[in-house]
Amino acid sequence: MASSSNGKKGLAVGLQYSAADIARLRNGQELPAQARHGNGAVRHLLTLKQTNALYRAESDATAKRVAVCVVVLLVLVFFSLCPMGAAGEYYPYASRYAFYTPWEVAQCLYMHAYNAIAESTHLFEPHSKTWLLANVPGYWAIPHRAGVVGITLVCAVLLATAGMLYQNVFKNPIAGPGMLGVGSGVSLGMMLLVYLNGAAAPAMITQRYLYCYGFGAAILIFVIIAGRKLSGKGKPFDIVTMLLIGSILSQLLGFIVSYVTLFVMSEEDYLTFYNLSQMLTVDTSLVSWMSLGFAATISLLPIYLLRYKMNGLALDDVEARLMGLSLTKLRGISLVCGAIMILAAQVHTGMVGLVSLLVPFLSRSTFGCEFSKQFTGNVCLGTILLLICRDITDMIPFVGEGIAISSVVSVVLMPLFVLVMAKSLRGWE
Amino acid sequence: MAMSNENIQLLDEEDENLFAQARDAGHKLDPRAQKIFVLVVVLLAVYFVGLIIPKDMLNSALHNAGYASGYSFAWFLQDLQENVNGLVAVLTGNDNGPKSYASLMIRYVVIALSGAGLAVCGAVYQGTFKNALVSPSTLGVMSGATLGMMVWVVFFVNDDGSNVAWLGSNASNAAAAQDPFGYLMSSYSLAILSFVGCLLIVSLVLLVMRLAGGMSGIMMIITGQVIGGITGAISNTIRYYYVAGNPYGPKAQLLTDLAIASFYRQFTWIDLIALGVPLIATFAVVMHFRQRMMALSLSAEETRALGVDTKRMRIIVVGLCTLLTAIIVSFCGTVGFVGFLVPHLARRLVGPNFTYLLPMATVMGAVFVLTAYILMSATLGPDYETMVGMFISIGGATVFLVTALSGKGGSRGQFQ
Repeated sequence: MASSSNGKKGLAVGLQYSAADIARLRNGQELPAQARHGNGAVRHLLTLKQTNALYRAESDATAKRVAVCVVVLLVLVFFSLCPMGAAGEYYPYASRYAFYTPWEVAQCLYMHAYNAIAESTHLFEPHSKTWLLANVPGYWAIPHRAGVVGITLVCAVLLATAGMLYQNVFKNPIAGPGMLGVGSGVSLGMMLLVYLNGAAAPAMITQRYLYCYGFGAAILIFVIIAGRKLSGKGKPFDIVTMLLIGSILSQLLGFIVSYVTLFVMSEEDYLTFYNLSQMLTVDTSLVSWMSLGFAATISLLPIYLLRYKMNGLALDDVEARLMGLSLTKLRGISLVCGAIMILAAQVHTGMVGLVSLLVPFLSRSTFGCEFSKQFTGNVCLGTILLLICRDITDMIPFVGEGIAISSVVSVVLMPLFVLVMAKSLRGWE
Repeated sequence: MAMSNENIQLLDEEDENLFAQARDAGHKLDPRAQKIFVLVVVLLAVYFVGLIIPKDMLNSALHNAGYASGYSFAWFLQDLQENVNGLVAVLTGNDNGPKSYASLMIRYVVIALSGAGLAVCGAVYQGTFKNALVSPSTLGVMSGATLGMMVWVVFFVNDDGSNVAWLGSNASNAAAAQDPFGYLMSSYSLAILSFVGCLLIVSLVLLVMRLAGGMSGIMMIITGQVIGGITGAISNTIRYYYVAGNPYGPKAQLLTDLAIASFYRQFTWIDLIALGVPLIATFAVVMHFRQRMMALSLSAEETRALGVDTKRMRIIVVGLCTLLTAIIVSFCGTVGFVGFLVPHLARRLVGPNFTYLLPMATVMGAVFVLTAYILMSATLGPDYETMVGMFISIGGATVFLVTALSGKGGSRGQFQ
């Protein structure tokens, strides 16, 4: 704690010091024994001004970092709006296959905004499209890209926050948010969808979300109920039991899904399943946005509202109870919300586990260990990293529909992971 | 507090009783060791039953040559009789029947050894890392083997799949017999490449640990999982590339088959030695370190006070077990669930003391995998023998969940 040891400067808020003590401090003399701690150390005095300055300095540091992240994010988003070269993009009048320059993107955005205002307010005529298409062929791809970027951002927030929650609860990074087995539930739902419907599966968007969310939620409920039942007379929330059941379930379901996709389904169906489950083409329809928004709201809102109480997870049970916090409730809410977050992220972006593992480390080391700061840090850093990976994924022309984002994320974030390990940026100790 | 005479009197009586109890109990075996011996007997019984039992019963029940009305008990008995005759012929030295029992006996022994090795590795990992959720695949060894297999398929298989007629869905001994040298070369090149893949992954993990400067258990697990995930992603991408290109071609088929297949090779005495010797060596070394490994659960000062060199011991033990896992997975394919589940079950039966846990895990792992394999081949036949890994996972997980959910709650045993 920063403090100036002499009370000579500024006014002493002398609630615990007598006038004589203040005079002594002003003169630079040592305080008598009553003004010392039990071990003889001098009680440091923080004036009100100094306390305010301290708080302001901390939030300034956070604000500076957030500002840097926001600037980087804006630049990245602008870059991502450029139609990328990979398959899956739909630009009907494109004369080139590769990237478009940001200048053209700026032109397209300007055109979009101009036309939107013109059509809504009727103050002026919208630009004619032939002029546009001759000059900037990627015009039609930008709304799609905006959708992709938006979904990636939301999923990044969900992934990073889920990882942070699980690391806070367990203080042990092995138990990642996928440990409760919801990811395998989502795979099971996808597999069933493709198995029952074959080639028509990619077009059945509503059913896809029904199946995936349904199975994922069913697995989560099963794990919670089984955990409570197996804990018996112990704590109602035996976490190790839940983790055990979750890991067994995920192995079991993973093997069932592997068997059916590799041996029972035909090869084209396997390709369809791979396409859907790895999110090679991001779905930006209204149903997708609605379901993602709903899942994100019901999982992020409780965490945001509880963001100050979550700091109590670092305390032990007795201290927390003295403060009036119920640690079991906090842990339970964290786990359930984290599972819903990772469920939504997997349905919309595929299984990207490394982000949940890595981003909390980085945000703890740069933003500090306090929960609300961690939260902000996770949001900022997670969005930047996942957007970089999404850009790289969309830039690489691969056979079929493209590379899965999980592969790219793994490879791209690996050096960062080594860096984190090498510099021991752990931070929960 | 001074001890009065009557206290000393009582102590002597208690001592006598205690000595009498110890003397009487000295002839009996520790109940934990009794359980181990029971399981060894069970293992031998399963082995011989598996040799005798007729194979492919479900299929035969559906289409039976020579029996008009489907499944018949007489067929079962006749097949049993033939098997027993064949087995006796092998054991007495006249092995010239159509069913070659020598190779079947070797095959069962190799399967049992693989199960035993994986279970021992799992028990050692769970003890060394003090974490109940680790398994032999935690350090990424299985992903490394899969990657090695993919590389083998990409580089060592002809585009029309002619040099691997012995592998995959249409495996047959005839193809192996036609070109024995070619079979041996490609069969062992697969194993060697898988092993190289495992070693590559493990050395990557060690490199990252060296860069990080420390080897705490949790960090090692995280690094192993991350690198295993990356390797899995690369394997998936390779497989997707080939399947998207030519979904019905031999390379695509091989890639999908090898991804989760186990025991897909024909085992010979070379495999027996290649698996048996490392298993026995690892088991001996780990049992030599058994008490010192239990000291890993103490703090650093206590272990140093006890004179246990944790760092060196950990390196030796974990390194040996990783090597054993790599060998098993290279020769037998990925069998995932055994190393995770069997140590838990063994700990429930004999407790966390390594003197009894390690032999128990070994024998139990062998029984587990051998039983699963025999059940699968007896019911579903040789076409599905390569899916034992899956069967073990599904069956084992279901059994575990059902027994755990229907039994009482409470302590899950020590996750030492």
